[in-house]
Amino acid sequence: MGGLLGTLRDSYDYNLQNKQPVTWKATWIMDTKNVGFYRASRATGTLQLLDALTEPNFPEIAGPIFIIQVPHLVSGVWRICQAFLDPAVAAKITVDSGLPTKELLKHMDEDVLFEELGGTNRTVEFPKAEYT
Amino acid sequence: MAVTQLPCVPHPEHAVTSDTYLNLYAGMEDKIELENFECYQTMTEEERKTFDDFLKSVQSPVHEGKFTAIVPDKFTVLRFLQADQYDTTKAMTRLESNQEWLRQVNIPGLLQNPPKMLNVYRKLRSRSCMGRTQDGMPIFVERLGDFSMFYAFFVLHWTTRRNIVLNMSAFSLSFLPHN
Repeated sequence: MGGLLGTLRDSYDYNLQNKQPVTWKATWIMDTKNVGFYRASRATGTLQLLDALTEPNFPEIAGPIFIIQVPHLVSGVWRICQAFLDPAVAAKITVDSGLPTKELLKHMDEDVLFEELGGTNRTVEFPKAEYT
Repeated sequence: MAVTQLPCVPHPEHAVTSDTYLNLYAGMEDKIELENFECYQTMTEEERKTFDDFLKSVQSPVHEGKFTAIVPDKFTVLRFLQADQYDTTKAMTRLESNQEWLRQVNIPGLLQNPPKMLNVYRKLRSRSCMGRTQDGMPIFVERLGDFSMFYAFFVLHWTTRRNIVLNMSAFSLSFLPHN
């Protein structure tokens, strides 16, 4: 959480200098490639816990959330669930079973998006987990 | 053209303190203006009036007793108010429950003595800050599938290890401070 808050604090000066809108929100891309259905289903409690922690205590810092490379089944279930969600929340979350490069490029420049997600960014290394 | 790539490590001047966990701009209040925020610029006259009144009620002596953990600043008050679509009753309830959470969690203590599992967790996950969107938001990317279960199995205590297979939620809870 500290890293996220620090980066959001950085945003003020950074965006003002670069004549970008100043905001306290962040965008998230969650790549679920290689997450099995069993592991995902066992993680429901974790998601509820995270929601219970962030929603009341850190409001309004989540911008658009892209959950990508999800199994087709999850993508289908999401489409149904969307109807029951708060429209503001549903509009924020994009769930895609593939790589939604076109959708991502509506929000960010091509030289920002990592190459593996369909962009041209090779300057920032996507770190592997240390224990790999 | 706006610069949209950014360094991943926050500037040392913007180091996070315990107050930052409520007031995002704690310690920077003198340097920043609410008027520069896009969410403030796009507010209607009615919303601005609601915000001004709500800010007064939060900072008035009547409520002083309620905000003893960390006193919310105007940026935080606006953030909470916008989260509840300018419903002042809901926003006040959220602020009060947040104060209770801050007291329970004891952020200063947590920053002084980080949970022993925190370093392990950081080594198991794969997350990066990629750059900025055209709207100026930082972009965080996380590869959930890279979470190193195989290595977690070797570096964790057997009770935690067991939960990787049996109970993913309990596994996640094992990284929290009380463990």
